[in-house]
This record gives sequence, structure tokens and C-alpha cells, in this order.
Amino acid sequence: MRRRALRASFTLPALSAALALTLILAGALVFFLPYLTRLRPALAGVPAPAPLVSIAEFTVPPGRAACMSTVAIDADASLVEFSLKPGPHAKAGGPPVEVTLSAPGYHASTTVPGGYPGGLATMPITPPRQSVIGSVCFRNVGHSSVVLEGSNEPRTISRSSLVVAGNPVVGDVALTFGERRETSLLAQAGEVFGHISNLTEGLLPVWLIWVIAALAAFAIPMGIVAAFYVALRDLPSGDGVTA
Amino acid sequence: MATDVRRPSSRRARRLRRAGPISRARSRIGALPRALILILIVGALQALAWNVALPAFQGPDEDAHFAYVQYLAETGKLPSPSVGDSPVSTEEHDALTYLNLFSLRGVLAARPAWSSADLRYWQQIEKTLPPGAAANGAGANPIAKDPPLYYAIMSIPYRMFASLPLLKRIFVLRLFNALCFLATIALVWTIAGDLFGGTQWKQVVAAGAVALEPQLAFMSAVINADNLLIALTTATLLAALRLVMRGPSVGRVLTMCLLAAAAALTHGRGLVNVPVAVTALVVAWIRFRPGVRQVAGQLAVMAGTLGGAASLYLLFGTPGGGGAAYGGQVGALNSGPPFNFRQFLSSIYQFYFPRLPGMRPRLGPAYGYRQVFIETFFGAFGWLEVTFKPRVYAVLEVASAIGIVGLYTAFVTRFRSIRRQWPAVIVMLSLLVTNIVFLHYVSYRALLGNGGTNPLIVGRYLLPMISLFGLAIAFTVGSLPRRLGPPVAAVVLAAGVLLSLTGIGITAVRFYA
Repeated sequence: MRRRALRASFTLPALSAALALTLILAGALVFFLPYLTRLRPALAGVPAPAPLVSIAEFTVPPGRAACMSTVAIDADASLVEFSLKPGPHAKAGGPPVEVTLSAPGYHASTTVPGGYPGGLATMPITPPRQSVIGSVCFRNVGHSSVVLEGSNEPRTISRSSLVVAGNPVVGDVALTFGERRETSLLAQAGEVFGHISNLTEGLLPVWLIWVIAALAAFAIPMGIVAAFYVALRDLPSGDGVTA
Repeated sequence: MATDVRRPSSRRARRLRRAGPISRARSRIGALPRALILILIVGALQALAWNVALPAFQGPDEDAHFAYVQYLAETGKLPSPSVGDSPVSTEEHDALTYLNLFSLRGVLAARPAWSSADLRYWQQIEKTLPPGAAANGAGANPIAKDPPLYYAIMSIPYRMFASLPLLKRIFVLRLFNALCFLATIALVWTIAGDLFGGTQWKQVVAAGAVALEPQLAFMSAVINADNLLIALTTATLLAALRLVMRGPSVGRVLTMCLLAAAAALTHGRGLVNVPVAVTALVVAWIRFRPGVRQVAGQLAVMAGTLGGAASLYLLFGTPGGGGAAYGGQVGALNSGPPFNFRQFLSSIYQFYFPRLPGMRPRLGPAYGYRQVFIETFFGAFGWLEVTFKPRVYAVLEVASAIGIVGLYTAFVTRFRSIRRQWPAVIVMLSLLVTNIVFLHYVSYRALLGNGGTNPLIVGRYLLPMISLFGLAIAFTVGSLPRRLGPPVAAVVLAAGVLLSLTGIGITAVRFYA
């Protein structure tokens, strides 16, 4: 009796379904888990992306500023990233540049010290208490001009408008906000789901996105394996279903 | 015995007639095989997950397809492919601009305006949009060259949910769009049932492989006419197979022709269904040898259906009426430098194989089998910028090669039984060959016309043949020795699940993390 029950549980349908489930589980452990738990720098927003093909250069003379408006500054934005280089006549590296972020009820600033050769600047900032729409200004506080890098390609221009030394200019300074701490995708899930919810205008609240994610992660594999098992089990014997 | 069998079904039919529509629908769903219901649930979940992972307008040409739906639904008129003040409405333009969704398209470093402050900012803009802001995307919209069937169908849910804010409306429209994906899965299940004699595990493999094909599932969450084209091409194949397997009747000929005509009224690529339908009818005549009167009647049905559809389209389906078919694409495609048959054949050869000594280099960039049949067929999401790691494509290429060898071996070893099914084989081959030759022809003409810069075709253009993909896998695996088939099928389905979940995951991370 016991032997028969044991034999029944080792039928081809059960073994095949178990194989599928094991492979999915193994794949999830080998590929998904490290991807989801690996620490990585976290983005807090990209008001203006870098160009795809050609870099646009925005030269800011000494004492003048380049300002971008309608920039979203998120509550977890604790780093600001942009590219700059010394102007053509700079002798001892680039001039200092003061970066000011402002919005109703929020003000923060940071300064890139002078003397840099050029490249990507990643500066710490104090984030707002809640996400705000404001402006970001790059003021040249040195004695030589500075070149801010960005884009004037139609493909990569964002909504922000740019004014350099008081003149409206087509294009954007490429600007990214980041977080100081490194974080895993798994730890960031709530934040990511918040972004998704905002881009459905709240049609999907964050809790519902959690439910959908959980359903996708578990019900898709289980549904396929169950369908396969049911189809194999319903075959009449003699169709090669018993091992 | 026969009465015993019939009684419950007639009792059930009476019960169904008496029941309300909800009970009837529930009863019909209950009558579906459990395995199919499970696969459809998997398909629905995938479509929903892709919809969540993909921000608005981030599928291929989704902005232009949505603009077509919106203009048609709002005004009852077709947009123009060549003239007009704006290809998209003010409402769509503002969403693309102020939510940074335009600069997001295809740019990996970009992110949408995702914060709650962005949402408040956008909602303020939405409130101040002037009346008619959703109805002024008259053109020039390049997608307006497409015939109107898909857009006319999608304008129904659009009208139903027209009062919703834009991003919510797009999400809901995508859910309706996903019905094409579910229909495709169910159709492949049915075809597999017809071909494999109701061996359900092979049906699960065929329909499951289709449901888990990442590019197809991704497209189910994109407002794009390809979704209806895929479902209609699959339905045409089913109708054509039934015609050659069960015999040509007026009803079957009419069904097949209506589906083929609907596919051609959905997209120019749907025209390949017409030669498939013609092939099926000829094969059915050869096999069943109907009388001259029946042949004449069926021919009249085919000519009437296809001709009627073409006339209706040319009269009412082009902007302004009486315009050129497919926005003049057919004429434009064939008006470039002269067609060189030898060069065309050489370009097809070099698409699949390395160039032979003495052969002239292929026209256009290094673009061939790997890019179309592997990379962009299995998964290139967003505007092609979201991809798997290169080693995943390498594994898929090897697996595909093994699959092709396996299919060939199965074909050879089961040749006798396949020969008995020759009408079905010819119909399926006609779909494969017409599609592939059509795509190569379009690509070659495009390369001639654009100086070899853009080969035009990508893997999603193969998706109307997705049924053949699922059926080939099921046939190959089903031809293995009895104790080996199900375990190999388990490996295929497990790989499909992992690939599918990976696609959804990397897309969500690309846009939202």
C-alpha cells in the first residue's frame, strides 16, 4: 500500500512539474536574488539626462550663473551630479562653482572648489523635507569662465528651461540627483512602487503595486507549472505519463 | 450510449438558456479546460505586470499610436500622415514634456518625472488645459498610414473612459489592448488542440511558450496595432487550418477571409494573410475536390470579402477618403532604385549566413539573424533600449539552434505521419514563407531607398507568426520519447518563466529605480 502511494507520487506528471518548479526556484536564487540584494548607488531623480550623441557646452562667465527651472528635487536627493570643465582661458583648473537649489520653503547650496581639471562633480546637498519643484543655479564664483556640459539634442531635452548669464538658452545642463547611501533594489522596492504609483496618477496605490508584484513573482511560475501538471495528469494512462 | 452522452449537454444547454448572462459566462468559463484557464491567468498577470513596469509612451511608437486612437475617438476623423499642426494633442504633448516622458524614450540615462511633486505639478497643468486639448492631434502622424481597424476598436474603451485623467486612461486602454494577447494564447491553444489531437500537455507547451515569450507579453502592454495584427493572424491561421482539415464550406471560407481582411485592415503587414488564405483554399480544393458550383461559390465569397474590405478601406479608411492604400507606403516602397533580384537573394543569404567569397557585401549595417530572430524577437523592451545581458542572448541563440535541429529531426523521423497532415503543413509553411519573404522584401527596398542606413525590420515583426513558434516547440518536444518529452517541456517552460520575469523586472528597474 505504502509502496503504491510512493510510486504514485513519482509519476511523470509530478516529476516533470517538480522539475519545472525546481528550475524556476534555482534560477530565482542564482539570478534574481543577487540582482535584488546587491548594493548599488541609488538614483533620486534625473531632471535632465546626458546627451546621446553630442555634448552641448554652456559657458558661464565669472560672476554669472546658469539656472534651470521646474526641477523636481526629491526628499531623498542628497547628492547632485553634473559635468563641468574649466573655460578656455583658465590657467589653474576650473573656477569654484556654487550650486544653489531653491523652492518654496527650501534652500540648499554646495560649492565645487576651484582647481579641478574637469569631469563629473558629485556634491552633497541637504534634501528637502518633501519633494518640491524648484530651480537649480550654478554660479561661477571664480575669475575665469566655466563650461557646464549638457544637451541641446531634441531627443534628450527635458522640461526644464535654462537661462545662462540672463539669456534663455535651448538645452539643459545634464543633472542627476542621487542618494548618499548605497541600497539594494529589494530595500528600494517601496520607493520604486511609489514612483510607479505617481506615474499612474494614483490609479494604482502603492499597496496594490505590492500585491501585483507578489502575484507576478509567485502566481506566474505557479500558474504555468500547475497548468502543465493538470494537463499531464489528465492524460489517460498508456500515453506515457507514468514513469 | 449516445443518448447518455447527449442528455447532460442538452440539459446544460437548456440551463444555459435559462440562466442570466453572468451565469452563462461563468458556465462557459467553467467549461474551458483548467490548464487553459491557468495559462490565461498567467497571461493576464503578465500583461498587468508589464503595464505596471512600463511608463506611458515607452513602448515602440506608443505616443503616435495613442495619438491616432485619441484623435479618432475624440473627433470621429482619421489623422493625417502628411499634414496638420501637431502629430499629438496638446494634452499628450504636455504629458510628454512636463513628465519628461519624451526625453525618456530610448534614453537609458533618463528617468520620468516620478516624484509626488511632479505629480502635483502635472495635475495642475492638466486642470488648466483648454477645451479641445485632447482633440487637436490631427497630424502629421506617421502612424496614420496604418489602416483604422485597431484604432477604431480602441476608441471604444477610450470613449468609455474619456473622463479619466490621461495617465489613468492610458493604463486602462492598455488593459483592453491585453485582450489581444489573451486571445492569441487561446487561439494557439486551439490550434495545438486541432493539430496534436487534443494531447493537452502539448497544448500547454504551445500556448505556454507563447504566453511566456517576453517580447509578446511586453507588447500586450503597449498601445500598438501589432497586438491586434498578431491575434488576427493567429485567428486566420486557425481558420485556414480548419478549412484544410475539415473541408471547405462557405462558412469556413467566409470566416477565414473576414479574418484575413481584418488583419489587412489592421496593418500593412497583415496583407500576408491574403496569400495564406488563398493557399488554404486551393489546398482545401485539392484535398476535398468540391464540385465546380461549390468552387465558384467559395471563390465568390473570397473575392467578395477581400474585395469588399479593400473597397471599404479605400473609400472610408484613408484620411479624407479615396486616399492611397497604407498612406502611400506601397508606392513609396517600390519607387526607389530598381529592384535587383540577385542582390535581393544575396542580401537574404547574408542575413542568415556569413558572406561567401566573391559575394558583394550586404546592403546596410551588420544586421541579421541574431539581431532580428534572437535579440529583438526574445526581448528588446521600451524603445529597444532595455535588453537582457549579452550572455542571455548567446544562450538563446544556442537554444534556438538546438530547437531548429530538433524540429528538423522530428520532421524527418515523423515524416510519415506529417505526410498525412500535408494540408496543415502547407498552410503553416505558407504563413512562415510569406511573412519572412515579405519582411526581407520590405527591408531590402527600405535599404535601397534610405542609402543602407535603416534595415527597418525588428523581431517584433515576427510576432504575427508566434503561433508557429509555440507549435514548433510543442511538436519538437512532443516528438521526443515518451518519458523524455514532459521533462524537456518542463525545462522549456521554466526557462520561459525566468526570461519573462527578468524582462518585467529589468524594465521596471530601468524606468523607476
